[in-house]
Amino acid sequence: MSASTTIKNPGLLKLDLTIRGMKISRDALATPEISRTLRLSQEIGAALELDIVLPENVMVNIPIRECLAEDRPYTLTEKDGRFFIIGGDAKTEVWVAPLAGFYEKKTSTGVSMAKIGRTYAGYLAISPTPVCEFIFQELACRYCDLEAKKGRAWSVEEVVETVEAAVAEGVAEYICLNVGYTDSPDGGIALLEPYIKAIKHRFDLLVCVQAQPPTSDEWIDATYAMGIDSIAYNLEAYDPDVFEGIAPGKMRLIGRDRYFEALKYAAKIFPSGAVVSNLIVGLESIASTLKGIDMLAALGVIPTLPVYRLATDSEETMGRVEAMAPVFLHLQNALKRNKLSPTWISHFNLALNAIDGHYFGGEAPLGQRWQKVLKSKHGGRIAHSISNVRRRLRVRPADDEVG
Amino acid sequence: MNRSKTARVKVDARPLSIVVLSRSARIFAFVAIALLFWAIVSWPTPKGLTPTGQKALAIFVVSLILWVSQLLPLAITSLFAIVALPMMGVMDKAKAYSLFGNEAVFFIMGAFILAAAMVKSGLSSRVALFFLKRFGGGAKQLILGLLLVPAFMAFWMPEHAVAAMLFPITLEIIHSLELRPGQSAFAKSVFLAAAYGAIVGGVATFLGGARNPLAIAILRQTTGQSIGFLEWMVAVVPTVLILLAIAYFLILYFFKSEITDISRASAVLEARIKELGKPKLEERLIGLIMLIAIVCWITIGKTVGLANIAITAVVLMFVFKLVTWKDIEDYVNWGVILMYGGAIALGYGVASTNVAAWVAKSTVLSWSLTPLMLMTIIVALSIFLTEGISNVAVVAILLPLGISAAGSFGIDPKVMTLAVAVPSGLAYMLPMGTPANAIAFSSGFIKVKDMVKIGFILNVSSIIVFIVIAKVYWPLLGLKF
Ligand code: SF4
Repeated sequence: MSASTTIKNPGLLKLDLTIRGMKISRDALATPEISRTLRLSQEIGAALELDIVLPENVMVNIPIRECLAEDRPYTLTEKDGRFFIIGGDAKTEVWVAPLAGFYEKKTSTGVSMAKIGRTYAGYLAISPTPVCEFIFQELACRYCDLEAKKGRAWSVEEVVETVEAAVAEGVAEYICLNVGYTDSPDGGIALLEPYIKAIKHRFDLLVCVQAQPPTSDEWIDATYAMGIDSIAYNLEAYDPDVFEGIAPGKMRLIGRDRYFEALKYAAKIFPSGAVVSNLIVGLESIASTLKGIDMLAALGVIPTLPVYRLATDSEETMGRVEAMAPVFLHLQNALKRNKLSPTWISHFNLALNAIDGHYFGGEAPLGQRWQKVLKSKHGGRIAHSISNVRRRLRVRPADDEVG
Repeated sequence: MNRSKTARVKVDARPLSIVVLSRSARIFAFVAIALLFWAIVSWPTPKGLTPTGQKALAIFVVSLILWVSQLLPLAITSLFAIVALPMMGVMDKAKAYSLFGNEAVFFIMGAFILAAAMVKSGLSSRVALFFLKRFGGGAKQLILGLLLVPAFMAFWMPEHAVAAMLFPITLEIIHSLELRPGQSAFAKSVFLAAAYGAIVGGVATFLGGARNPLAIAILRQTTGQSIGFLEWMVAVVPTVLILLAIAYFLILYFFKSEITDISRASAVLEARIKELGKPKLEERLIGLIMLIAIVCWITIGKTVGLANIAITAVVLMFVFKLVTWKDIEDYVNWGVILMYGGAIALGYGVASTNVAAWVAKSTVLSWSLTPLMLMTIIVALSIFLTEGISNVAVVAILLPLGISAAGSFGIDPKVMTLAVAVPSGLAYMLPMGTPANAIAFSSGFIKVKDMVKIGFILNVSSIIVFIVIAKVYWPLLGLKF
């Protein structure tokens, strides 16, 4: 499929931009939106991303450093203050989100807030602590940013200050916390507890967490009780060999079966559609990914599908969009079959998900109405209140007999 | 971060509609209770009851449900009763609140404070160890000691305080013998003996359980009669002795000790005594004040007043700086004191409005019962009800009705008072029946079925012993039925 064809379909364009990348023209590079991102990226010594809004509000997020190479099928240009993506002989207008202002702020302890939190299409991602047993045992996930794991843990106050700045700016509708693995029954989630408590205490925000499954299910109950609204135990690949290859620590210290067990249990504990697991598309055969989607959906888990980022325009990448496109349609159908609504996962805009299924030939997008509510002025607060009420009803002391 | 604390939660994953229903059960219960209250008040007044009596009946029924279900803490139900009585026009508010100042309430408070002083100073442990050491000759003797010592101590201080004070000692004895939960019959005997000793001993005087003075207060408020400290002891102690003997043989029968050598247990007792050192001056003084108070209760209690003696003893302890207010605050169960005030007011309310008489007439009086049958029913009701609900609640509920029925059967109200108050202290079967059982159960050595098995036999034995004593021995004391 040529770039000029792809460009007409925002879903396909998102997919192709993720796989094959984009370069930035000289005029665009000179715009404040992009020059500021580049400058700050160098200042803090970490790759920042460009949030680009494609037609029909489809978000795509591209690391800015990847845009400096020349061999890309698409070009971001600027004319009279408007941005366009050009592919072949076709072009489409896009909107480049300005870099969040809080990135240039510092916490009261002098840490750049850009190091603590990053916004991606409306959610704020934070890894409060670099602790991870996988790294310690030299079993780190292949995609892990090991450089970022060399620093110290952020204090609760530093995290809260960053959240406060992002919320004040209106760029954080959700908080997504990430945590590594610890060799304890909670699997690492307990490390997040003080941060979650503080965030929930100060802000009306939904909190999503990406963590590793704890050894015992009671810690999944505790995870929900802590105030977490959506949990992700990321499988990354369905094929056991590929899984071990990409995430050796997960395979050897936790085990693939435990992922399925924990996801299944979590799906009973969390609201429907609030338990998710990544399957990276392009990492394993498409057939294997499809099996993974079916398996997760049958457990009541929403698969999210980040795309394996090659960012090269080569022979190898050319046919990928065509090959991958059916996966998203399959996802939409699998969710429908299992009566799952991807309402809680709009924060995973980085990945393509069932909301985007219609771009690949599916029916009207799932969960779109709820997404609109969430994004409305009071929607976030309403969702937060509903989530709190549900938690208050369901969580009990363990010695309280249920039933 | 306290990780284990975090994990101690459970998420109820049942369908949300069921969760909401089960969570709202409490609200539904209160709505149902309110409707019942309204229904009783607005029904046509039954024959034999006045409209005021009808309102008192509604308050009594609601309090009864709340005490039994424990939807509210016992003390809060009492506060409800004391507020509802004047609000519904059952009695004047000045009268309702003045009942809170009943002598029994102050006697209970004084007794609690004296017990707190004994526990805090270490005097109670010293007395327990002193006597226990004398039973170190063998396994059976030790069990006898663990039954008799708490029983004797519960004559003079609340049974739950005795059980709590003895528990660390019994636990240490069991650990020294390296006994394992689930396997050791001796350990079961030890914990059960300590619990049953405290329970049985607790009915012997006014000091063992505050339900006893409460019963006297209800008797006095409803009939003007009373029972003296010594009179009570003389009437009840034979029952106590027989029950202790039965408990001892039942424990030996059901839990055949697997050990004979208890020298290590004796060593523990020795070590504990050494640890306490010589009696401190404050212990001696507290002991002396307590002794004087006991003598006064027995000799001049009726004329001077039990509460006056108790409070004077408390004041003396403060005069000699033997305790601080902080010590007292930590040890005294103030909620129970509130509970008693409300229960006395309610008892007075149902008696003065003839509700008790009306209920008695519509129930027991309408059945053709003999006095013996009535007594047996009351004793059995008290003893089995107290397994599930607070012994104070049993007294507050049953006694006004019992006293009212007593007159028609020619039963001395004092006999009826004893027939409710004494059995209501004898909960042997369930861990939640009384704090002494709960403490023994918390050791991990006793299973519920152990307690139920031996407790049921003790319950039945207690009913028989009580009735036989009441029939044969009490007439000699002038207490007839
Ligand atoms: S779980 Fe994997 S990605 Fe996360 S910190 Fe550990 S090694 Fe890195």
